[in-house]
Amino acid sequence: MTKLTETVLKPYRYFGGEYNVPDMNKQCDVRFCMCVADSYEVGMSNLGVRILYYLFNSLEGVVCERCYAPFEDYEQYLRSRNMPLCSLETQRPLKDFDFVGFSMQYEMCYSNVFYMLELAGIPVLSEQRGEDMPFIVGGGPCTVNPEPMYKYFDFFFIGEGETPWKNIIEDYKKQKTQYGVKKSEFLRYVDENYECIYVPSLHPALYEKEQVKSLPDRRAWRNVEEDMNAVFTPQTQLVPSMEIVHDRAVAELFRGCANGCRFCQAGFIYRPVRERTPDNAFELCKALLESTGYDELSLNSLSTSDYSGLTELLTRLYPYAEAHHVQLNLPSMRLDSFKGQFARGNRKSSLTFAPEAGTQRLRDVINKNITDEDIFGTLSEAFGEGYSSVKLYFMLGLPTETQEDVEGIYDIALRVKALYKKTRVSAKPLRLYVSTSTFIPKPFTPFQWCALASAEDVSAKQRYLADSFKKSGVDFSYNDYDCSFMEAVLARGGRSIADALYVAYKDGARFDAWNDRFDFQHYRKAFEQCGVDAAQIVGAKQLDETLPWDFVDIGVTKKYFQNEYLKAMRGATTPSCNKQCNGCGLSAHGYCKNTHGNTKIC
Amino acid sequence: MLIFKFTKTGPSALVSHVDNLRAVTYLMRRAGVNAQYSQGFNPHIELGFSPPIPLGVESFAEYVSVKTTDRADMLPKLNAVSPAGVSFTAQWRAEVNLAAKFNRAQYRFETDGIGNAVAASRLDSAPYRITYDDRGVSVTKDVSGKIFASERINRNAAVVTLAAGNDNLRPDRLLLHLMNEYKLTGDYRIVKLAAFADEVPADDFLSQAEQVG
Repeated sequence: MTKLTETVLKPYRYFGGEYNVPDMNKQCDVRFCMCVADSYEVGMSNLGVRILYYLFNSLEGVVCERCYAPFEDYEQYLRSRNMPLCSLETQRPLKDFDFVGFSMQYEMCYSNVFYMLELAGIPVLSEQRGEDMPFIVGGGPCTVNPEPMYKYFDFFFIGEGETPWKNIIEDYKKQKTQYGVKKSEFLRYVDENYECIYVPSLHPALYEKEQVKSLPDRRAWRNVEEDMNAVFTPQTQLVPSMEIVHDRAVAELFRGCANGCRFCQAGFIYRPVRERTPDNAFELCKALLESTGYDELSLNSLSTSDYSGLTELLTRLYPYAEAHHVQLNLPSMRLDSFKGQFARGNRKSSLTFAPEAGTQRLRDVINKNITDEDIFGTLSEAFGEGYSSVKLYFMLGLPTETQEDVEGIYDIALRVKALYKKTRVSAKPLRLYVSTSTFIPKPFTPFQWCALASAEDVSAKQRYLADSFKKSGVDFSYNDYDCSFMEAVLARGGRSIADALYVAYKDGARFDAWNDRFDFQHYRKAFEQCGVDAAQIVGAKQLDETLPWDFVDIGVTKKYFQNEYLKAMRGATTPSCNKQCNGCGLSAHGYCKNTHGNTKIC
Repeated sequence: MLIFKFTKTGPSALVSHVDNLRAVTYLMRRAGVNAQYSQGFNPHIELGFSPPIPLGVESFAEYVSVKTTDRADMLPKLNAVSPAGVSFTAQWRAEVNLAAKFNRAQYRFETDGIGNAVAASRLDSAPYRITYDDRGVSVTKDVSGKIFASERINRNAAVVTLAAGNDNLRPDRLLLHLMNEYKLTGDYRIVKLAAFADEVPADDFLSQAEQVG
């Protein structure tokens, strides 16, 4: 018992001690602290962080530890004792590491980066960090537009990290141990030798208000790991002794997604589809379960029901799961490829599907290639399997959306209720949840030129649905508009918003991804103070306009996005990569030679 | 039924009882304990624990029972897959409801001056009232029936035996009361040294139960 437990809730969060922590006492030349700018429970659930954590720790002479954003009680505990933020494993101050890496999974965690750096006693501005301070590195999906945070990070890693990171760390180790490399020298070295590394301080950009006048003079390439069967894959994962958000074994079946939904950034920035073989996936599942003791396994990907080996994998996994008391979890199921057999043998808890839009017209605009037949045929099959709880996700504020599309959401819900009455085998009443979020036009999507819908427009649609669903027996929920607005600013902004983000943090912004903690007033004030025109950032763009992220090359061409945008505006669809190559640009880089999406072609 | 004795020290002392239940479940599965599962919608390994200890209290005397037909020495397997601070130290084959039977526990208090405070405080007097904070509310209670023994070890350490289980006295409440009363400040440590079934040390009690079984 220490004073800690009197004032700090769940102190375990800050001290680690999980099962499967690698050897922290080995001979060490390079220390890396892997951070997630969110709580322990959220950060521990991140698959990318797990992979890099085990990758770094597998390297000779390298030790990787972790750190997550502390809640206010532990912040106060540290501040009242003048203690810096430390790593979990060895309680080493973050400033004593060679690298402090932040995995930036969503834009709303940016304020927590400042929070963690300041708690660690590390200057937030890159230019203020001397030789005695670690490299501050950013990775994760948000780095496809790194510019809002350009002055706070020493460098960004863009894309998938397994292969290049191993080499970067080995290079650093060699240079550090042989001649004590200076930070500036190493930054120039990685800038010249790794095209997936972006060092913002070496590549100025020019802005006039929010408008880009000149981009950084260097292309930054998104790294793509080619072979999922050969890529470094930890055969285990940390097992915390407290509950986390995704408290289960997680096996990644494939990367990328073939569907080309026009609203989905992940669908473009993780292309192309790269699958594990069912053999590889099965062995991974077994290894994860046996080494962790978890009794639940999640088969992850961006669209699990599209996995070409799913039937073969499940045929082997179901008997194993039954014999070992394991619950299988298949998230990210599409309505057009879900089969009732996928859910057979599982607990009939709840199914979640995302039609995204209420009418076929709008689903065509966003290229969500599912039909009413897909929706109701799949649900009919699921109800026939005994399911009685369904969650349906939609978006509001999609490009070209009309009142009729919004009414379509209500109509789908009513038809689902009617369908359940006809096809149910369960004695339970139907539990139907309809959830809407505000569409955010993100970089590297065909809708990157579209405006975020106005608050008035979205609020009116939310009110309409809330009124319609009253007394309908449907549980309806929607998200906060200000939160979406801020996410849009962070996702689409350039260097011009960087100062305002830190000002907002100093005004109190942190844990912005948490609805109960997010306060838009911090940002409103900061934008005013720094002269940021946030409305312009979330407003519509010209197709030939230079965008802040245009120097990042994700492999999909801007021309392809422009064509997709124009097709969307006339309601034309693009088939899944599973059916044909649509010429997005990745084949020019040598990808998709033997596959169309999840389909093998030779 | 197998009953194991284990430690809960270091970071594991910061794991709540509810979280520990889940962590031990995964541990049993990793170790390959052939445990019996409950019936119903959400089958789970049936575990029984000795009475919970407050968050932050370290322990060398936690006990868990698991329904299994295994008879082999499972300790090496369990220790090979245990997280930091958890170490399995003994095993019995017996049918015992740990939560109901284990009703006393011995703790060591460590903080600057606590040994002298315990010696001076007349913990064996009746009534003996302590004041503690219960979720923001100040509570004063007579706990004289829940303190069975106390001993000064040195100036900065003492050992006390307190009621555990349903009608218990939390060791942190007694320690903090003493620290307030004697104006002791600074950090402190509480370690559970042993558990008892009435006046019988738990290990002896389980050995007797094993022989009877």
